Amino acid sequence: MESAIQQENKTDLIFQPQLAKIERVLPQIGGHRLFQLKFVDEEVAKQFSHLCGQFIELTVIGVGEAPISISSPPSRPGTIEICVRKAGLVTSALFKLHPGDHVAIRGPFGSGFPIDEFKEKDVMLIAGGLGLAPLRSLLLSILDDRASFKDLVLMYGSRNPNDILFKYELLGLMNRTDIKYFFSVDSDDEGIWKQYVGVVTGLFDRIEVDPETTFCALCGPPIMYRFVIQELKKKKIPMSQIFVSLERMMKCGVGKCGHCTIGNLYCCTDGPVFRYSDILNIKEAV
Amino acid sequence: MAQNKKILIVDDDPDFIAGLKMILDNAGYSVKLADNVKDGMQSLAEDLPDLIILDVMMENFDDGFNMCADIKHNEHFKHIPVIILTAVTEVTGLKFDPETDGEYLEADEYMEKPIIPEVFLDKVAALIK
Repeated sequence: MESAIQQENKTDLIFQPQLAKIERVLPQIGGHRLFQLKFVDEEVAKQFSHLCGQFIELTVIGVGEAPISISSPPSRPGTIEICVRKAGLVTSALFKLHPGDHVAIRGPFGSGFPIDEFKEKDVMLIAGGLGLAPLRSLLLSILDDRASFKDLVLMYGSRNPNDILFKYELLGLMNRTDIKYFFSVDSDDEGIWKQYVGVVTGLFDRIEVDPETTFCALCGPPIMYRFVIQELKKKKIPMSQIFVSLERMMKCGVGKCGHCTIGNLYCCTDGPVFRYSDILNIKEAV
Repeated sequence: MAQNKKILIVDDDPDFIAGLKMILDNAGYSVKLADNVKDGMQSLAEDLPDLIILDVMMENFDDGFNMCADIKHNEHFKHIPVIILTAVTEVTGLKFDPETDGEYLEADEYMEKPIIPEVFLDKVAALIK
């Protein structure tokens, strides 16, 4: 139980941006980089904890703030990893920064994947494109506590062999016998791809699942969800065992600005991770 | 000049190593061999080579990349040029490139197997001088 003084001394990580140093910048595919960040204040670093699937609001000082998914797992505290696509003002400014430079962080925000519910169950992770970034947090968390879960399947689709995120980590996964991985590319003009060529839903013919014990986590481009969920329904996986991470124009992170509404829900506070059975009747959700 | 230069090959394919050793021997290099990362690192520690030729997929799929990172983050070894010589793209479809992959791959040269001996010897000579 925390004392009143301890509570008073706690930094409000939601509303007060906290200074963080860029430790490393690792290139991913064209226009995407993995940033490793560390809070400057050690007390803040200790206080910060997140769930797989949550996001932060990242400030590039003097430029602005943008919501970014956390790619690192809670099981590896101390460093926050974010995989960023250079897209707008803030991310373009971020790409001009180097190790040793500072940014600021608010958060974490939103809901996460209910990893405790996945324990003792089979887990299927399905990612498309940059959707692997938030799912990486969940994937690494499961791998860090592998014995607590049953079968683990990763399905990852990207546009072509040049667009594969975290390729060094995916190569490392190929050493493991405790994960089944299925990778696809939409097209392979160079003729180098050794696995499936086609959209990620084409991979479902290759897997068998026990629908009663399988929990699924999805993240990818909007078009992917409907078709993947159709495949999961064919596998008779209950909708309450499917979790989707949705992306909307999140601005404030605390359900005030209304930019990220999905029906009567806010993506930033009710999501970004939703149980599919909870959003079934919201037309614009997926 | 090549007579004084030592090259360490770390690769687990005995047929490929035999062919590569013959090419390098004929060019006058002194060649040491290791067929796994552990022996390769031990060889490095015992006798610093002038160049390392490193396979990627050995006992583990990413052994060569990890060994390359270890070499390039070791004060005693990081000055030694490393040529990654691999069939990893042929096997997995995944593409790697030190020009674009930053800290993930700090090799001085990256080449796909099989090699053209003349081209390969030019790369070796350029790095070892």
